[in-house]
Amino acid sequence: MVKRTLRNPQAVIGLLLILAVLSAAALAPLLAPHDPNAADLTKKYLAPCADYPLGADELGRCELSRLLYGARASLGISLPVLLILAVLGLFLGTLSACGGQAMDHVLTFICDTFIAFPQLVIAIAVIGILGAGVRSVIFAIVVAMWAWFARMVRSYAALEMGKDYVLAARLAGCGTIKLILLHLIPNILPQFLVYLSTGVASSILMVSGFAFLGLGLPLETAEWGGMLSSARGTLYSHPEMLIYPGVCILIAAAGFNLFGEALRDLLEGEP
Amino acid sequence: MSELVVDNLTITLRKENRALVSGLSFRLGAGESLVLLGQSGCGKSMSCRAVMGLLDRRFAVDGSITLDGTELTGLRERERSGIYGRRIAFIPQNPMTALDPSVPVERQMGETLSLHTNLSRAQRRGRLRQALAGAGLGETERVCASRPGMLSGGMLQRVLIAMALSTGAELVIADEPTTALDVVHRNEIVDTFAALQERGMSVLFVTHDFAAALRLDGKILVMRDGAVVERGSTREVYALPRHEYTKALVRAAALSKGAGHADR
Amino acid sequence: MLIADHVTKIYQGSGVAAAAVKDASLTLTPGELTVLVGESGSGKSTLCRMLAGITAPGAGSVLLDGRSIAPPARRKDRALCAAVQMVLQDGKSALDPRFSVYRSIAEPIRNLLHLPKGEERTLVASLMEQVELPAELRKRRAAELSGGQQKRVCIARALATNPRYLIFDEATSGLDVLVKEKILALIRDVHKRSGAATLMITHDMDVALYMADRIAVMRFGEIVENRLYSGDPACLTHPYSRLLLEKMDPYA
Repeated sequence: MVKRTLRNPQAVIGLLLILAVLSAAALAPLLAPHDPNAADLTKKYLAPCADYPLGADELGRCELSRLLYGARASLGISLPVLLILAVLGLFLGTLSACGGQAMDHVLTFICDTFIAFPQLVIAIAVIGILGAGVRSVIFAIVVAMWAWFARMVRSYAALEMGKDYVLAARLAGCGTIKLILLHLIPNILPQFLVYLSTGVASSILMVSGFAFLGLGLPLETAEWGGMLSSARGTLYSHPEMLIYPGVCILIAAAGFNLFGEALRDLLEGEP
Repeated sequence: MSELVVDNLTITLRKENRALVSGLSFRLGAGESLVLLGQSGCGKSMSCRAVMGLLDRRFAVDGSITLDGTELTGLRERERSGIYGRRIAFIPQNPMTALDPSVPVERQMGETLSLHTNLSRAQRRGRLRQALAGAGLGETERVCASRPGMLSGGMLQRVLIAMALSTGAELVIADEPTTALDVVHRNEIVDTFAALQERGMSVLFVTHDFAAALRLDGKILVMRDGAVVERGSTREVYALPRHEYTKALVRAAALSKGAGHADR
Repeated sequence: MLIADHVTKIYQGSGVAAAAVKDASLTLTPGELTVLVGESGSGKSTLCRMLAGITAPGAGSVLLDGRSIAPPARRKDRALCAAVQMVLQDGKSALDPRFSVYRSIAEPIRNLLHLPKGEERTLVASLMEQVELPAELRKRRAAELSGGQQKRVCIARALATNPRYLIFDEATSGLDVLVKEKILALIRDVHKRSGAATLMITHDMDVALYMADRIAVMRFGEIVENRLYSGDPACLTHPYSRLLLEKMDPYA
């Protein structure tokens, strides 16, 4: 399986992009030449040079450093969010599929209600209520996306529940909890991981979206969406200020999406 | 005079250089039936697919397959459409997969007919209904209006048989037509194929069910591991099997007759 | 004894209520191998699921030594679960694709018997031997096995708890005819050794005549005949039974 992954070009490209972004985030303090928040107006819009490899932004801050730290913000929020969503999704989804009809109806109804709203709208509403800060952003994204994950798990779990091996497991004395942990989750995990991968991409975009709209994170935090927002006014004079963070967002989202899709194709090929 | 001649057919899996079928030869004339009998992996389905031209490049096909002198191996696209679907009809094991689930039966059958013949719409309608009746389907109007999902497996098989009838096919190839059916219905579907024989069609029947072969009452080739171990008229082979493998198949085909009771 | 007493099951499907099983009664006696014969749609699968305690009868009751075993009895009573086991029709789909052969067979042992690891390993090994599965297949997964081997794994699972009542739903469907013969011989052997009450569901009268101590014939949800089988098919007198006997003959 691992070998096949490495032979699939899409998977490899996706993985490399993910690794690039992960290393940027993890190693930012080591790789960044300057403090991302150190403003120096004398260096305003400095052209790329040895000291400032990508130049400086409108406040003289090192662009490269800001991009590297921006990876931290994006991934530092997205990955914990995805972890929470994974646990919530698996728990509620399997509960819905195995917990009896009444439970299923109630949970499905709640999910459908959440799903009816665009994710960004829910997230903005939550941030509006809770105010700014990293914890609000995490909470907002979880609230916006949980229903999709729960529903996805529920439909896969319901599919598995209809299969003979579940009946055979019951005949062999398997209780509901064991059934979920030993049979259902391992069998839906591949598809779920794929969904999770693409969920990371959505989440990164959402975080950037908030920053772009000026919500959630404190202003002036080094974050790609925020950098995009600040660079709006200088589209014609300094287009690179838009391009750099934009490309970073693209690389991160694309990496997870490509890998996620390739993972799905690889898993479908399994016996 | 439509005759299918398979001469020394050998099918090899290229990657592993393994022969799945070796040296298969037989003749099937008009109005005759031939059963390829054997268990899974014996090569009977592979041979079928070779005759249908359905093997992809993973398989190397040697030997010759001719229908009335026309060589079927290595046919080009344009020539294929003149033969497959018109002169040779294929009834797959799972009839549901051969039909579009969202289109009513009459329209699908009509499509095939209009592809292969020059009949007017009214003529097509008439011929379809005749064909359905000939395939043993009673309520032709209801069947015509239904979508494949509304019909049972047995009925869908008859629809495909009717399609073969309607295009005037010379050769019908059936892949395990009785396997999905109850023993009770086995004889009926085999009888439908026998009826096709009476109209002059050749029937090539692939199965592991000896009883179905006996009902069809034609010739038989017993296959094992890609080769023919015994051949002859089905009744004779059943009554006096010579090869050990055939003897085992005969005994297993009717356990209560042969072995009696498992205990005694 | 496991008794289905005048059970009825009605299924509601798109406005039409179809009686899958109508007032059917069947008794499974230890030591006796019963074969229930019927076409598809005759209700035999539904009846056997009620006997196994996984489907509740709509009317009537299924009693094991006098106590009802309708759901959720199986889930609550481990001894009941261990005493009544069933082998499903399709061997491949009845096995978790991710489990090894060992783990599949060990599952009922872990859930119902709670043996220490050493004893578990011994029991699995002896079960594999009993169903004639080579020991080296222990670590393989379901997809890597042949149809006959998958069926043997399923049988081993069902035997793990030494059940007093063993039900086989279409034990040989989808299997090649020589494999079928071997599996039937295995079932007969298992039945004799365990002294359990065995029930086999099939549409093939040939299987019934080959295996049965008792033959029950089912049609449209009703049991039309139920007799001890002496070895002479003439003992089946109901017209439908005679029809099934006739249909066995390819020349009929």
